[in-house]
Amino acid sequence: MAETTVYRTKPSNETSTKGQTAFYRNVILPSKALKEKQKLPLNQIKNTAAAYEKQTTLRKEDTEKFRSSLERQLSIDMLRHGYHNSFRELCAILAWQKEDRERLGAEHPLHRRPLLDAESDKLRYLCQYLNKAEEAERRSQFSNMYHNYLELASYFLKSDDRWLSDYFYEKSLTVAQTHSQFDPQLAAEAYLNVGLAYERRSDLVKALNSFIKYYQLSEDNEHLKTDASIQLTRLYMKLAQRRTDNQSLQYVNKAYEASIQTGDKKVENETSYKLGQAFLEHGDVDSALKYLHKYYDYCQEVNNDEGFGQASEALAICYQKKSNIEKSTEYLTKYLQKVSDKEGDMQYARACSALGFIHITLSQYDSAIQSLSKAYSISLANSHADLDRNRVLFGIAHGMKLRPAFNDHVDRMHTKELLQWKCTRHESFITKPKP
Amino acid sequence: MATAELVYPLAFPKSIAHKCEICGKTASRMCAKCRVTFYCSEEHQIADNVGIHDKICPTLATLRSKQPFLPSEEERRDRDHEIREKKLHLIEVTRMIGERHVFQNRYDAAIPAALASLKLAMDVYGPRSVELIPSYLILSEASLGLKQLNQCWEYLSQAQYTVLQQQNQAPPAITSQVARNMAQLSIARKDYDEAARHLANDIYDASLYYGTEHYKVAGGYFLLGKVFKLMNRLEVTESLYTQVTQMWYYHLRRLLQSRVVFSDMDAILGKNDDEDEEDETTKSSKLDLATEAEAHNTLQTLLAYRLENHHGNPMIQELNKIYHCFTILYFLARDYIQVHDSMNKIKDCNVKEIDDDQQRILKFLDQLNRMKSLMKRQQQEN
Repeated sequence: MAETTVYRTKPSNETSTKGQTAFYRNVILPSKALKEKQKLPLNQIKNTAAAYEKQTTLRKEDTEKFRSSLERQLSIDMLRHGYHNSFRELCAILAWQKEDRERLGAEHPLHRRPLLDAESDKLRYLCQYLNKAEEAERRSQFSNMYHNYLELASYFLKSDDRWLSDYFYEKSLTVAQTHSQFDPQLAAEAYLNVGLAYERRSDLVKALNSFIKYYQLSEDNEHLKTDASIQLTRLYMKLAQRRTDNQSLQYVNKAYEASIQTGDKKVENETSYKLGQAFLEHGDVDSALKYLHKYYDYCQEVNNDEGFGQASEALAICYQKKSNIEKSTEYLTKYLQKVSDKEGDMQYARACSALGFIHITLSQYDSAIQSLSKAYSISLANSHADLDRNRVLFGIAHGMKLRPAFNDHVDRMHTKELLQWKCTRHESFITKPKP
Repeated sequence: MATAELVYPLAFPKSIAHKCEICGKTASRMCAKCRVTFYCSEEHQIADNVGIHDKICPTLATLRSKQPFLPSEEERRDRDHEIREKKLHLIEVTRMIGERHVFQNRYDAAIPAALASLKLAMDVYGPRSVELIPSYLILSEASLGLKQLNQCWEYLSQAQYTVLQQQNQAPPAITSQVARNMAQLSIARKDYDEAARHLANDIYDASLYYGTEHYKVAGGYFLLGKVFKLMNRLEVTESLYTQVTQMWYYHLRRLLQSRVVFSDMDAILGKNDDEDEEDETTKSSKLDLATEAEAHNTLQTLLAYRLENHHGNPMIQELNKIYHCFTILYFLARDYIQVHDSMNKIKDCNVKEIDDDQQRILKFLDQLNRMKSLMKRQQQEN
């Protein structure tokens, strides 16, 4: 049975045009209004129609892309293909960054860099590689997964997002650790990367731990083992530089032990030199001597002149501390001989100044002045970096020489002579014996 | 001009024609109890009665009857306010009843309930409000259950249009539900790409609203796993189902811990635990019917999947997790016999958490039994 409405309901937008028939209202008026609107020239209408036809029909997903943010689009793309772990990681990373910012407060300089979800390239790259990593995980291709994380870490390192790259290095470490039975080399590499990351952040203790693990894991692989030892050496030296007490000595010691493992003579001997110097600083002359000798011999073998010079100097200082004068002069004269063919060179200047220094300490001021004047003139001529040092030493030698006469005058209270001397500062003034 | 006058079946004054509750045609029957609900045929009346009318008959009587004139503005306002409150309450009640019908797969009973809630909501909020969407969703689920795909599509389109009209100010919880239902429809239509897209939207919105590890997101992941299984990409299904198991496991364990704490307190205070103390348990620690049904369905499917796909060596840990989830579920639903059953199914488990939970459950059951025997003795003494 057909339904009819009882009352005719008037539409609310009907214009109240009294005195016009329904026909006029319903048929003629609308068409007139339409004509008013279509005042565009025919050509334009044709062009728009043609353009409209050429447009590709958008599917639902394309329209959605226009409506939503990049983050949403990428997340939805990832979820559509089933990469839900990547989606959750992305959410976690973005949330972490926001939390970090809030924690650091509003004025921290870090805030000037844009948030991650504002940088489209990085987001896309991140999503792409997270997807690859998840795909690899599903297929249990753990080395692939590891490499993908590594890629991400190095990308973020290049773009200076340290926090992200550290995070991905640690992730690659966990992957390598849990599946280390397949490929221990990966685990070792992962530890290396993590150690480097800690070092960059100046967290040296943690870096040390990672490098030690790296060393332990690379037992089988020669190449990695030497690399591990080199890293360890370097790190121990850094640690030693930071601390100035007994700890530093221990560190340098450890560095030396590590350097022996490298099998690289150069590194080993350089470390032994540093160790010797450290011992010297702490007053342990004998052990210093041992290591410095080692370095000395090595330099002789390799004909490393500068090293040789350094070694000779150090050895001389050691012996001088032990009051073994002949030995120290012996070393220094050997050094001098070696470099004597290169007069005017920096080495020669250094040799001379070292010799002069020894003479000063031995109160042999004349010979000191002799060698120091040579050193000073050379360095003056070539404006070496050592210039100031030589100047000072030269002055010291002269001063020390004049000191006894000066004291004598002071004792006898010959103030007038002293004052005269002060005016001219001539040497002869003071050394002339006065009645 | 004599127009053919239609005769209206019910003996009401001229030009008052009531419409059937269910279909909207002219009504020829009336509910005798409330006298304000009308139906066109006996089948519709029975359907409505079974679905919802039985429970809301008296309330409808007060709501729909003609209100007498009240002299003062204040009284009118108060009365309007009261009526509105009643309607709101009724919307909730009808929705819950509709959902319950859906969970128990009584789809034809769900439709009248959902329709009633829809009408009431339209009355209160207006025809374009976001509040109508849950009713539309129940309707769509019911029609999906009855295999009326076009009807389902209509309801869902209406829901989507409402969302769009509100300029995307709908809370993400609702949009995610809409997307989830659209995905279910797409699965029924075998359009798996579309379903995946909808589910992606759903998971994104739900994660935004609840957090990425919340159990409400698990429904989306579960359906996504189903989609990929139907698309025959089993490795994706595997990882998704593991994720779902993890989420439910976490949520149920949390519920168990908070629930057992409360129950311990009750035991100490000597209260009988069989009474439901709704006020004391916080919202988050309640396991309401909807979640329970959902969890039950999900876990059963997961179990079936695990058992069928790994004939050789099932992943013991995963299986144990699922069994443990079942244990907690039965325990929270007070189905104690099943609890022991599923606990026995866990073998070779060396996860400390599961052992801890089992200890707790056993201790609690023990206490319960002791209290019951105590009460029995007291009754016998009296």
